[in-house]
Amino acid sequence: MKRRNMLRGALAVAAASSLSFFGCGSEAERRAFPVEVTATTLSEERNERGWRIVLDSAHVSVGPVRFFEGRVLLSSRPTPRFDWYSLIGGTAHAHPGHYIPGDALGELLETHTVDLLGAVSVLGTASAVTGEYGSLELTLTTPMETQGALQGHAVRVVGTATNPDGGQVRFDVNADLPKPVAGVRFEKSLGMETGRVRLTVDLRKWLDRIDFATATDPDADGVYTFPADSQARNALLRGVEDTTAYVVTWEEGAMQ
Amino acid sequence: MRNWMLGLSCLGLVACSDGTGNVTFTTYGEDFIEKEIPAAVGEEAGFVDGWTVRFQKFVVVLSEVKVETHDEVAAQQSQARVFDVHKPGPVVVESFKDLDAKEWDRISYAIAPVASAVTGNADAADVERMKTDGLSVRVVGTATKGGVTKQFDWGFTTNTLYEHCESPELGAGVTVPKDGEETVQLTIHGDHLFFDDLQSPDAKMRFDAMAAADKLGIAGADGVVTLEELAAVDLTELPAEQYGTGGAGNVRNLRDFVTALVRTAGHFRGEGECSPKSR
Repeated sequence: MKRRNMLRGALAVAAASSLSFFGCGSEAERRAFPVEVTATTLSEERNERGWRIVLDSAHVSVGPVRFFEGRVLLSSRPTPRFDWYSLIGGTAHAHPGHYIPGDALGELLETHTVDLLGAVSVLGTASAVTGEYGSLELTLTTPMETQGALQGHAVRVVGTATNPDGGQVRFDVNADLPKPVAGVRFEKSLGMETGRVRLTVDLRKWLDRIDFATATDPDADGVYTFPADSQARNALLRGVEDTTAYVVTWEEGAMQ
Repeated sequence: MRNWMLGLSCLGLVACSDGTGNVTFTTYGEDFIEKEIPAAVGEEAGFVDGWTVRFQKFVVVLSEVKVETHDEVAAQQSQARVFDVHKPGPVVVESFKDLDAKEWDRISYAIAPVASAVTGNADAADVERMKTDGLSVRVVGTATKGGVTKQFDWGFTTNTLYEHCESPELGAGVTVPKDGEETVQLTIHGDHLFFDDLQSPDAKMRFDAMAAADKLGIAGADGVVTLEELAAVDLTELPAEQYGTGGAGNVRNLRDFVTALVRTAGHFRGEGECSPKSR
């Protein structure tokens, strides 16, 4: 709640054309930028449990997305730099619950269903301010409607997994997270330059740790779901909530 | 007018630095490290799965203690020291003399491997081990539940800078008293190594999964839980409601998990917090 208030406060102040709410003379200017979502193509490489996975469909309900100043401590930068962080840095605190997002810098409140096997999807335009961005919070919202591609879930993945012996598991699985994915790395000193935020979902991270042999009880069509206490469901949920499954980049220039 | 403003400015400087005082930093492992982490009873903190843990060693390399404001450094530790906070404390880490008597709102320190570290209160053999193996933290202890005993000896090479330390009661940093001395404790929280969630404030202490990891090697379960055995436990094989990473990336097994928790052990003036920055 405190964070939400902070966000409202920051954005309200940002309604002025120029402001200095960071203190010490630093100024932030109001700006906006588009946010888009795409996914990496799933390669034919087997996952950690030896399964080759071919997807028929993959959908996710994305939004809101909130941007914060606080950096991430627990995961490494892709390429080491001077003053680099590795697990939950910046404004994190040394306790469970230690990722502290810090100042809110922007938000996009819309929610969209994204076809991760399709083209790049535009989520909308974030209301934001200039500043030192460190992370974002990504909400995978469980939709109200039970129809459509997601069938009432935040994530739905359909496909076939094949083990080294040729055994196949056709699966239709879903996931819902109890809370947003917080602490996704996005380190960017953002001024007034033209560009957009691209959020790339790494589907391999979602699926890499799943042992499809633990999926039991196929339906009449031979399609498996993941039982609630199975390793497969556990692995899927841990994959979907893994912050490193989301790569956030700043793409220069206007949208095509 | 200009002279008047200059005079005010000088007056301000004098007022800000009127006199000097001393600051002594200590470190302390509290009862959990010095004595025991008990099994939980009622609302009291402890292992919810019935284990107790006693440390035989809890060795940390403390360095880079710094007192400053955003634009001025008052003092900085030049010599890293190795402490065994299982030994009775608090013990002195560093004393800074004749600092300007005023509020210094930024304190930071590091727990990191340092090849040139010297002993604080740790045994010479432990100091040598830390330097030889490039360790920042080493914990040796025994977990007990019923008639079962598991030993552990885990060394970590984590390099963590604890910044912006703040006490809930005393605020950020330290206020140096004029002609006086202030003591600041760098508190080490040993219970954090056994939390079952990286993010949740409701994390609980558990040891069952770690005890069950003791099964590798020719001898199988030999009563010693190694980091290699923890690395063999994929988090997806543990109950979904335990060992949640809260989205922290690349924490995939129990060894990753404990290593992440080690970074949260450094605290400030008891329950005070710092911002741990991994390097």
